[in-house]
Amino acid sequence: MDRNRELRIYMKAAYAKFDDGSGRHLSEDEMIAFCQERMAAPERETARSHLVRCGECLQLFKDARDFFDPDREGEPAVGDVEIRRGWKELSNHIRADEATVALFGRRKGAFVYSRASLALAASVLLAIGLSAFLALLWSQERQERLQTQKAVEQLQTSRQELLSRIKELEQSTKQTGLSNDERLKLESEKARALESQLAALNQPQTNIAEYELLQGSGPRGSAAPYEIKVPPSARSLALKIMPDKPEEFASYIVELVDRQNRKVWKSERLPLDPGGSLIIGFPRAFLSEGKYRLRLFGWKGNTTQMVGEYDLTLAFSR
Amino acid sequence: MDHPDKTTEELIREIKRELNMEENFRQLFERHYTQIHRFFHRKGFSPEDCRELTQETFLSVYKGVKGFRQESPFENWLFSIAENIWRSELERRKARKRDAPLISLDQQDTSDTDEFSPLAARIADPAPDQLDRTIEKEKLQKLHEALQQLPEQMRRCTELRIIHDFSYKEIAELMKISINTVKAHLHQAKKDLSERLKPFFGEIEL
Repeated sequence: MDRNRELRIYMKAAYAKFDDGSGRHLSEDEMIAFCQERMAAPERETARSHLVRCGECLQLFKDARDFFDPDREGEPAVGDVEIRRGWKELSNHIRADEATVALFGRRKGAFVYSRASLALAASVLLAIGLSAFLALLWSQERQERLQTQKAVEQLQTSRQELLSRIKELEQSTKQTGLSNDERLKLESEKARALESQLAALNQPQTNIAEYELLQGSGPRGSAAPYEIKVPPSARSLALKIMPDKPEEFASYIVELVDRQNRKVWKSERLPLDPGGSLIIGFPRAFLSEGKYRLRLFGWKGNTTQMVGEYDLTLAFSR
Repeated sequence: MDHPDKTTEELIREIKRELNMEENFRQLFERHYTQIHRFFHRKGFSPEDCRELTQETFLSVYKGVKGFRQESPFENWLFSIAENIWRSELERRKARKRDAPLISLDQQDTSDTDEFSPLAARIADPAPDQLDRTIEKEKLQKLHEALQQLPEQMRRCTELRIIHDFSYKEIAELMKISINTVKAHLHQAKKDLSERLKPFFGEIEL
């Protein structure tokens, strides 16, 4: 019958798709009565005519037959020894269950706890456990509340600073008479810089020097590579890239090659962070001073596409 | 192990009234152990699993007997419990299969091929393409048409045999026909279906 595996799958699908299996389903009691031929003849015919068309009822019919049919040829018998062993296991299990000790008792003639005293002991234990749990919960909530308050205060201060900076910027652009587009560009650059400062404020201080590779800085063929001067205090450096169309690719591949075009580092399947940027970090000791080229590829499905190239000059201040 | 003194209903009544619980429940256990064990054996479980599932059934009976209203026979209720335990066990096993450990798509897999290439490159796209869908639809349609060509009784016998894996005897009892008639129907159905469906499904066995 296993040769019909594919046919069985398709027949089930055809059955489900094309056959309505109409008529009322049989309840368990009705099915048992049907199997045991305890149904009146007209009801039996109605049940049969539904049964041969309804997969659900057919399964129930099989289950009922499996349960109620007597021994079939070739089936192993269940001996008295196994039944006695089964009973011993079950009664031990029930005794071990505290809720039924009062009914069975521990051993013959042993003291049997009254149900009331068991119930009382259980209630006391429950009450103690609940109180301890509530106390712990309360203490945790209090701590969380204090931490949240502190974070909110910090955010509010940063927000005030950001607003006053934006105001300053507006005033200064009015004075210099820049066009709207230029003003917007400057504002967004400043806002981005301030955002990263704000983000840095909320991050634990770990001596990371961050550099943003703006579109157009040190592109291939340009005379001016991006200059990265890592201060002495920075133990690592982070390169931040913001692709123009963040929604275009599912993830990115980044390659770093030296001036001999040897691959120094590569990472694949890097997603953008919620801000739409890619941050690549290196420990200070990982790179030596010199010229590098960073290549960015977008990855979608099974294809990759180059998105940008950035020429970098790395120097470590002493 | 037979205790003709009390009927099952009498045992249940006394258990519900907490009279001589252990002895009454033991009698009930001995009376129905074989039936329940046999049920799980017929569902294809190993002897060890049959014992465990039978225990689980009786434990449920013990915990729920006070709520049993005796409106239908005790055996019907027992069947319901055993069936639920069977279905729960099937679900549990299916869930265990679904939670199988994940394999990285990037790892090299040399288990069944000479190619040294990442798994991801060799795992088929789960979304079938348009051609696969068309072929699938056509096969389904051809199958449905071939089945509809069969006389109704022959078709029902075929469905019971292939989809529900019924034996000749079970089909005969359900359809209220003789076993020889069932065999004749299936023999003819095999001929007709093979003629129409061999290019799609290969050799058919009934």
